[in-house]
Amino acid sequence: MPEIDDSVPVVGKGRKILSLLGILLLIGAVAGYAFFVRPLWSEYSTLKADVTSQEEKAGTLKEQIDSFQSAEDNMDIGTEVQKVTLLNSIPVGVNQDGVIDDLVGISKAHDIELRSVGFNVSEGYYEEIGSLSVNASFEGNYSDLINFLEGIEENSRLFKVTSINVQVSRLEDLDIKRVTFSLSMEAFYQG
Amino acid sequence: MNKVPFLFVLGVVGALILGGFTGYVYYSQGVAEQDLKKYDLQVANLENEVVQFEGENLGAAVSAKQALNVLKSDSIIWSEVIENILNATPKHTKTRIPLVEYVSYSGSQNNSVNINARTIPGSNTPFGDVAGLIRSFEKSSYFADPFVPSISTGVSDEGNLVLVFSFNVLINNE
Repeated sequence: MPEIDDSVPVVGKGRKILSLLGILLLIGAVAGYAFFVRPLWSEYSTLKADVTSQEEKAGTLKEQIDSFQSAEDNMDIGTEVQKVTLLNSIPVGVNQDGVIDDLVGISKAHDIELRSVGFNVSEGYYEEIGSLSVNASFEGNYSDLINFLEGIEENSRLFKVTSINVQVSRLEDLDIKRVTFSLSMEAFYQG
Repeated sequence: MNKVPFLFVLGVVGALILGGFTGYVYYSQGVAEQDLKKYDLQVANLENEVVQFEGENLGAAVSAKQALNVLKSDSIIWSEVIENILNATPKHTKTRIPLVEYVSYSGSQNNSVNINARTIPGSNTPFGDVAGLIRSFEKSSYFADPFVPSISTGVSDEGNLVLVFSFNVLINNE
């Protein structure tokens, strides 16, 4: 009989211990969430935001590279020579010294004398392209005029001749035709 | 039958949920770190590629190409114009000497050319030479609307009749 009476308090004691353990586990879980998992989650969220940001940046850069590549393919500027040729045609910066060198070089090459030259710079000729207006007068033999004009037209830097005035005179003694001519031209640059 | 206390069950479930969630966060964090490394490397490579393209002045070359297409579209090749003027000038059938002599000419971007000319001193048909010039330019596909507004007479140093006239013509762009 006494053995049966003793078993009841033992079971109740065990339940109490388990309940206490349960409470401790709950407190531990809440504390673990508050002080460990929550900061960990916050770190993860920041990391995830960084990943998203880098992913977007990579996407933007890819688009930029694609546009460069399609520009190269569509505009026929894939090779270094083509790029240099284009940049010589319309250089970055006014490069007035280059224009003077070009005029002198073309004149000399065709036995034409450069008599005078005037310049004027203006921006926004076409989108980001500015223009350097050149008014120059020359003198030489009539027979050299066309070759000289071809030299101007084929120059690596683009010269767009907007007007031309030619005066022809004959040197009777030598039977040579001389020309005095003036050209208004535009040379272009990227600002 | 002994029942397990509710609080104990709740505590164990809470601990399991916390453990599971912690594991999930650790796993996700590991994956995110790997992704971040991957994208960092990708971004660095792409940035290098962009710098390489920009270093090759591709942007400036593209602008130049676009501008050239526009700027050249209405350019007049003046060497060609002068060559065509000389080719269109009527010449003597035997001597091949031009029947008129150009004193001056001017041209501008609006496709018009203004020429001051005179006939060859001593020509038997000076007015006919002027008419021949107009005819010759009319026949040329390179020019259009030749027009002589006035003709005046003069005398050369040798005392021969010379016609002095101006002559307007348009460059045919069609």
